[in-house]
Amino acid sequence: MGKKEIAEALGMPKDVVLGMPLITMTGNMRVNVENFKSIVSYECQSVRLLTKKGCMEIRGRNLEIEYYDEEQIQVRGIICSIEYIN
Amino acid sequence: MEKKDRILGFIVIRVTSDNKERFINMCRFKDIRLYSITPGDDYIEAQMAAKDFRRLREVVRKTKSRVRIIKKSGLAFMAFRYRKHYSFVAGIFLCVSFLYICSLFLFNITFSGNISLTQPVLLRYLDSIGVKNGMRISTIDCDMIETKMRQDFDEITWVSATVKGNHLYVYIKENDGYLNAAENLQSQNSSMQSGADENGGSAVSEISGSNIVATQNGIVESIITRSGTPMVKKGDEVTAGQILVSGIVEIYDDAGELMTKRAVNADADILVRNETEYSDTLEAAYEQKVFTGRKKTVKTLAFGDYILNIGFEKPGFKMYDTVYNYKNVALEENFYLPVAFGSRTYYEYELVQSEYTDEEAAGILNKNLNTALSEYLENNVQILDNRVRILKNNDAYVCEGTLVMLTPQSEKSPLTQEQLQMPQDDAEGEEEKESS
Repeated sequence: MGKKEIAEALGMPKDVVLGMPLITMTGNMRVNVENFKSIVSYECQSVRLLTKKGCMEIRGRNLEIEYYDEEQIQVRGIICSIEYIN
Repeated sequence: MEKKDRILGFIVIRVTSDNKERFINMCRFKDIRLYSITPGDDYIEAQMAAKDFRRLREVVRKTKSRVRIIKKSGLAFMAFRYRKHYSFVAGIFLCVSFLYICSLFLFNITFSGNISLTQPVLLRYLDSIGVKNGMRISTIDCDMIETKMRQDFDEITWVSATVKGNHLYVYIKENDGYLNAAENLQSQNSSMQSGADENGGSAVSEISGSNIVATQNGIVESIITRSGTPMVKKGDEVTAGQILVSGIVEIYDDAGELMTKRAVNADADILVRNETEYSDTLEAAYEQKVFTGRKKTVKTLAFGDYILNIGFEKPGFKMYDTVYNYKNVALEENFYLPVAFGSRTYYEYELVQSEYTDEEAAGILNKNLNTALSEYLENNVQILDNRVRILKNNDAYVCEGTLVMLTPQSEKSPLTQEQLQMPQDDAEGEEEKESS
């Protein structure tokens, strides 16, 4: 039985057990990503983050990393899309 | 960024590197926080706490980056920048000293809960017991203030004085019914005294009873006597000063002869119908204050009682009204400084000769009449008929006529020794004179 099944069986949040990224968006102005591993690339129009589920790309305009810490990163700007790149 | 770091000192750095993402990741793993990271072509700009700057050295070496500080902000950098400006350092020292000295003195007194005792009265009282603005806070004895205020003001039932910062708060509770209660107590005492006199006999030389006398001429409309002997009846015409209810109660024996006289406090509900002339005159011509719309404002600074004008001193108007607006400077709610700033505004006006219209004059005269009537009503006088008319007489409006009123009579007059004397005594006295 894998971690996923155990988490489902015990009803525990998967972001805690599996380290899944948790994304919180405020309109299209701000996005907060928890459980990310590192920054892959950082440009004005895109920020790529490495997560356990793969590489996530935040696309938009005038993107700026507002702050980061060990667990989360917050990106500000005009956000157009968020997608996983495999 | 934490508030502490933002105040103490933070820097804006520009990192030029081929691998700026690696730079950010390494900073993250070494727990060096960067904020507001904005990317450029081959660089990034970010804010960071000044204390973390030296920890970047290893990151810079490993990522082969170049770091340049492009802005320094915060107290630490300001203090360093102005370290040789002695006047600046002295200014900071003086400012801190000034604040400390100000905190030692009382600069504001606030009263709350006072209704009949006005703020100027209470301030004058506190001044008289040595508590005033500008005194040392350490010398204020709140217990003494509370005790003295309770002693000296009968109206105050509860008082609490507290000092917060350099602000003295005096919370007061007044007894609204105090005066009425005192009057009742006084009347009760006097009636008890008269009762005691009645029981104790006529050995007491002082006469404690009283009559009720008429205060104006009129006709008695109704009389209900509770104590004493009524001297008038309904429909009688009375004149001012006449005794309406006597405080003498005559006691007769079975044979119908006068045994004794007792003094009581006469008590009765008496209504006298009377007519009072009312007259009020209003000159038709008057000087009206017309504001021209021109005004001048002078900013002022007040240090205690000394007021300093900033700018021009005289308004330059012939006639003007002055409006003062001052505000005490407070660093926080309870920390006042001996400085008040505000403004003094002069509004120019001209006096224009005007004349009241009939409606305006009638309005003013009616208002005066209503004020007079409401004063009567406050004294429980009933207005039966109002025969007042407004007439224009040459250059003036005259409001005159007669008011028919029902006036309660409660004026008391003391009893005299003669009223208490028995008729036999007088006869005996005359006989003695004749025999001698």
